[in-house]
Amino acid sequence: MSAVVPLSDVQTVPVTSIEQQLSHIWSEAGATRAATFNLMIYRPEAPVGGLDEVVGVVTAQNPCRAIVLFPSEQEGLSAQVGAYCPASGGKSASVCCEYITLQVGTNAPLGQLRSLLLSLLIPDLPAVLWWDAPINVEDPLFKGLEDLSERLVFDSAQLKNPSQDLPPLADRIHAGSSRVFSDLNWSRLAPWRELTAQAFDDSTTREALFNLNRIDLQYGKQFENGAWLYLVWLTTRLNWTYQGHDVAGSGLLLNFLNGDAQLDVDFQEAQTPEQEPLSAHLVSNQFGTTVIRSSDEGHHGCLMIDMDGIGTSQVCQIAPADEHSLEQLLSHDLYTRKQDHLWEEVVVAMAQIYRSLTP
Amino acid sequence: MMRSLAENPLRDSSRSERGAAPVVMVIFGASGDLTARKLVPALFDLGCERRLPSQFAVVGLSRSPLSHEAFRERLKTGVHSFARNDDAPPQMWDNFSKGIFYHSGDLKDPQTYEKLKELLAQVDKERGTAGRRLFYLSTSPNYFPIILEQLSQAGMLADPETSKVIIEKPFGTDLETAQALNQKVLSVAKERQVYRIDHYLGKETVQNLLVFRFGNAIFEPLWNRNHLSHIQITVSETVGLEGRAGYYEEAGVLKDMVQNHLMQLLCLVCMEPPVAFDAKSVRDEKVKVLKALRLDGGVGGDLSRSVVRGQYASGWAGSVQVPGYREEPDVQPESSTATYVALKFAVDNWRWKGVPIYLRTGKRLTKRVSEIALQFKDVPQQLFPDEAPSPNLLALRIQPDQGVSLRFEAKRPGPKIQMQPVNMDFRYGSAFGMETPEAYERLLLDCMVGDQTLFTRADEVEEAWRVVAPVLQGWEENKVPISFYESGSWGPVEADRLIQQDGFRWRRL
Repeated sequence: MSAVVPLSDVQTVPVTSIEQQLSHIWSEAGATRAATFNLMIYRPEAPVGGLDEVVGVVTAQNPCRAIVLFPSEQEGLSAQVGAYCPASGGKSASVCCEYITLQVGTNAPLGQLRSLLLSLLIPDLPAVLWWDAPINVEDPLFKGLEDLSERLVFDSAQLKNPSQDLPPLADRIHAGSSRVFSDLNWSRLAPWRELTAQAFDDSTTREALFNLNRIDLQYGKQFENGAWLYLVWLTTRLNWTYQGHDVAGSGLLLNFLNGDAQLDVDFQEAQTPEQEPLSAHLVSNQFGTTVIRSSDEGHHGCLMIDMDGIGTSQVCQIAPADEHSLEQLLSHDLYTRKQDHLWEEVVVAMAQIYRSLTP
Repeated sequence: MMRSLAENPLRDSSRSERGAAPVVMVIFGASGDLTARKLVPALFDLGCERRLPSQFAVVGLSRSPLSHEAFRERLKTGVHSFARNDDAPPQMWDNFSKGIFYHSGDLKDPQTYEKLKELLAQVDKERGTAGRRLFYLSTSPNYFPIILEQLSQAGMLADPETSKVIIEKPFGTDLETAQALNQKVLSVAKERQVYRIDHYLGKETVQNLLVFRFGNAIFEPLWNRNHLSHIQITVSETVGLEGRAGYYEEAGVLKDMVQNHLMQLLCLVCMEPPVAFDAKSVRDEKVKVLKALRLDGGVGGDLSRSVVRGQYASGWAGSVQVPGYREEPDVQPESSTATYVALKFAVDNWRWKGVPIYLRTGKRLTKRVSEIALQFKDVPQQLFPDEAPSPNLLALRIQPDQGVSLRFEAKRPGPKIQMQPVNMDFRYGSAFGMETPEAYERLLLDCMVGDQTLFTRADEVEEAWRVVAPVLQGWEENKVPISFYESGSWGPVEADRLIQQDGFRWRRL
């Protein structure tokens, strides 16, 4: 069932009449308009059949003016305008959101697009850009839209070539950009990070964390960049410094150092048919092994930690891996307004490693 | 516990930095409704959001013999009915229920507690709960003293770092019993171990009140006697007794709602900004309000000018005809228990002197609504001939649909100056279509991490009882007659007179 219901029929209008059409919708409707921010969304393709389902769910939970842009074969700029209300409340009981789609023709001047967007952004409300496509920081369209936004949301899992595409973004962060960056892949990783942290909350198990000798990481093909995020998060938190790497089988053996202590990381794509997203074995020769992985039943939405030989008991904790849906990831990111300095630190460290891996 | 979490480098900046350390929660009165409907579903939801520690267990304690398995099965039904994550994968419940245990015994028998200690030691070994205990008293209040005494005798409250006690309301039945209970509690535990729960404070909407007041600069300069004429606080229910005659006949509306929930709302509205958002600072300010608070019966302190006591008669609840209170099952035919009360208070401090505060709450009223309304003073001079502007009003809707509305005057289009009140109304409850956590989730987690901000302190509870003590006494001595009201109405007409005597009217909600 859709998260939203249309308040009015979607109308195709000249781009100069968008605001007029929106005023008309609100004057006719019995619902209340709500917007707490502007959400610009770039998609590489047109949504099929009207409102994009993900956008519907997101705007139901985060009232905003949504402006969806996608490339078009037609000339110039064209627009469609509508309004949607959360399905749970219906039209009369709810506050409802505006939805504008802009088809950007191949010959549409970027300046015209920028000017149009500037006029459509609701004053005094933040502007968020969700770039739902691989990022190329040199792309004029990307740069133009990014300039209009205070927050950039993207998914590093979509990067075609992370080792090339991520470092320029990291450079900007390192140089002190005022823009807030959100990586949906980082949010996707939250259950693993939180469960890993939870495993070492108790002081009796924490010794294992400070005495790691080896980490074996296996990742599903689609989750390689997430695996890097996880690894670099873990190593930066523990102040392990990257030293270098060797090729090991079809993957890598990475070397880290902390003072005199050495840590080896075996970083491999999983060869099993099930290809669970991530499985981490944190090995301490002295204190035992902590395993974080999907639960035995496979991809039924649960993760488990298994701590063997640590402390006085074997601990097995299962928790849901529930933030994998795109709309949930995005909703959470939009809900959290603050800069994630931890992610920034991790991405900058990742960029350094990527640069050293690239010949 | 907070310190050990701060030493986990993986917790730094993690989203769930409010994770708790390992602990066993022992629920006394585990066969009751609260455990199955609220506590365990809340714990399960916390687990689903990875906010429970890995090493966590629940031990339910009650009189009737039951196996661990049977107890788990009983709780499973409650979780499926009442948890937010009722559609969680089955292995979530399987894993969660492995940490649930049951112990039966007589609460007065020391052997019950010795055996409990043995069970807890075993749980520590199996679940890694490291000797940390959270004792939840969910029994009839009559048992609180004996449970506390026995826990103390068994040495289970000795260490304030590893043991805590949560005590459900009502905390006492009047000032004297509340003081006695506080004395008992504090004779066996330190105040920092004690969490007196009022689930209203865990409501998202009530916390919003703090954010509204202290997260916005524009309202605070107006929030005082210079600009406000009066305040109305309404908590109305449409439900009747719902089979709880045994409890309600004894408690009545004053002990059930006013002494705790409404007093908390009043405190949050009237308190000064705390110097910090920590338990001591916030609770200090609330206690200051309570100390300045009194019933306002005018000169001579006439109770009838400040209190209306009501009881619902037969009438309608929606389209269903319903009986009156005295006709409800297990209610005495001549019961004088109040199901409605309207009160007029005064706060004797610089901020609120001369601003009456009206409270009303009751069962079987027209709507289920909780709201705080601040009415501003009239304009000092009426500039527009033939037009009397209505006073501005700021309303904070707590439930069912949280939001804020501001009423102000606007000119109607036309050649003449004609004014009309308009409402600027933002219902953020429906705007943000996100599911909010249940109050108990917030409160149980706060207790586990050691944050007492949303729990009431000993002096706070006693001051709240002191404030309502004259009402209780007046009712005992029959100085305030019972006014009957039709179910489905807004209460007795006498309540209207209470506020009209000062030139105001109750808001029609």
